[in-house]
Amino acid sequence: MITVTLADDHHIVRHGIKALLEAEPDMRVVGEAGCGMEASQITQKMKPDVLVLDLMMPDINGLKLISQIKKRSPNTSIVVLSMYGNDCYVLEALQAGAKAYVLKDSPQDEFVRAVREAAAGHRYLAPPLSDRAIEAYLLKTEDTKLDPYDMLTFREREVLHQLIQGSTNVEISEQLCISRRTVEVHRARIMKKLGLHGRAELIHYAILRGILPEGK
Amino acid sequence: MDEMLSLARNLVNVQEDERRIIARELHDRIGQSLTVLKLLLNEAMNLPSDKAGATLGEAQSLVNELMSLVRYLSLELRPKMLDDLGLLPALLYLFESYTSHTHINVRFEHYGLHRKFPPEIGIAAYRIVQEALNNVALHAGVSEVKVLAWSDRKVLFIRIEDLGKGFNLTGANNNNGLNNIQGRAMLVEGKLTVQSAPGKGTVINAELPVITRIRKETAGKSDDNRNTGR
Repeated sequence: MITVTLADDHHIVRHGIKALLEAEPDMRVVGEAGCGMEASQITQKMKPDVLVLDLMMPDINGLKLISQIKKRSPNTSIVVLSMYGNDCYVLEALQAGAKAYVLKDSPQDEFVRAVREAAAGHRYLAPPLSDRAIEAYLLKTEDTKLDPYDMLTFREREVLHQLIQGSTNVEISEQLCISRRTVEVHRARIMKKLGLHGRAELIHYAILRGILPEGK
Repeated sequence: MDEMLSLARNLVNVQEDERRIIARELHDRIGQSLTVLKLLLNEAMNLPSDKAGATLGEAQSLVNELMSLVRYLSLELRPKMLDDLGLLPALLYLFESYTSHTHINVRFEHYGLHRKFPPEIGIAAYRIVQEALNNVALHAGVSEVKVLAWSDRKVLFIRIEDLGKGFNLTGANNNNGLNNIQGRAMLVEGKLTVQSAPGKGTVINAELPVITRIRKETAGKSDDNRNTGR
């Protein structure tokens, strides 16, 4: 027998899910919750095989709830049932510890299958969700290598252009109305970001990049 | 002072425009679909049960349509992802839906965005990018736009760059989109520059402070360090 708790803030939704699961001979709903807090309590108390969870609970962020429940009832597999099928939610839910993810507009048999797979300890994404899409999304979130010049702030750019023009720290500090110390800090940060050492390298860089003083 | 007043006026206008769009969508599309749904269900009830299947099937596909519409509208109204997951997922989703609506490809480069920003910075950044992309779709006439974003401990830097038609900056005072972008940056004490000329494309650079003044003051009063926005 697969024991299940349900958490969704809409009574009608819970009612529908319950009817659906109890039509299966080997499934039994042992608790229901209308908010995140209740979901956490009832799952901890009943220690069911599966918790069916709506990610959008009124009181607690569903993703936080998943990791919280995984700590309190580690043997409960969590099936997320959500309106949102965006890869980012799916990825975050899986990373938080969910086993399966089903959309609210998925066919019923997909949902029942997800509960069964999760109970058996298998990961399951109901179509149109797929592992491949999640992996592709994960790649998009990885840092890209940016051109160091693009990573200068407005102020750093101003200072850089003045430096290229040959202005001294004192001149820059007067021009931009900042202290000499601040100019030195900016200068050091610019050189570090661009990976340059000394004035010769700076000029060489400016020529290579074709950077002209601003406004010219 | 004048600037603040016109900023406030712009924000109110923008808000009213957004509400008008949402109200129309609610009335025209959701309301209408619900009416049709009601008729279909009535029809199905009056049919012998062996003949009701096709009508119910129609009703079901309408329900699916409604669900996706509600999802879309709620994301337009407030990108919930921004609150739930942060700026990077919200932007990625924005680009995906932008490309599918406009067929304009977004080339996105980013660094250091795997963090939580204070909510007001996150939403400012999101709206700046969203508004700039809408401008690109409306005016630039391009098939690709580049968005660059990076963050360190102090600032969040954003650039939206296209190689499209561009415009004359002096005549741009009445561009609602641009005013809105400027307003968003100003409200969080950020800096913003717009470079454009006819035929030369447009580059918008925004630099937002990651720790805002309000937060510095709060942090000064208590040990509650909320710089990360968690």
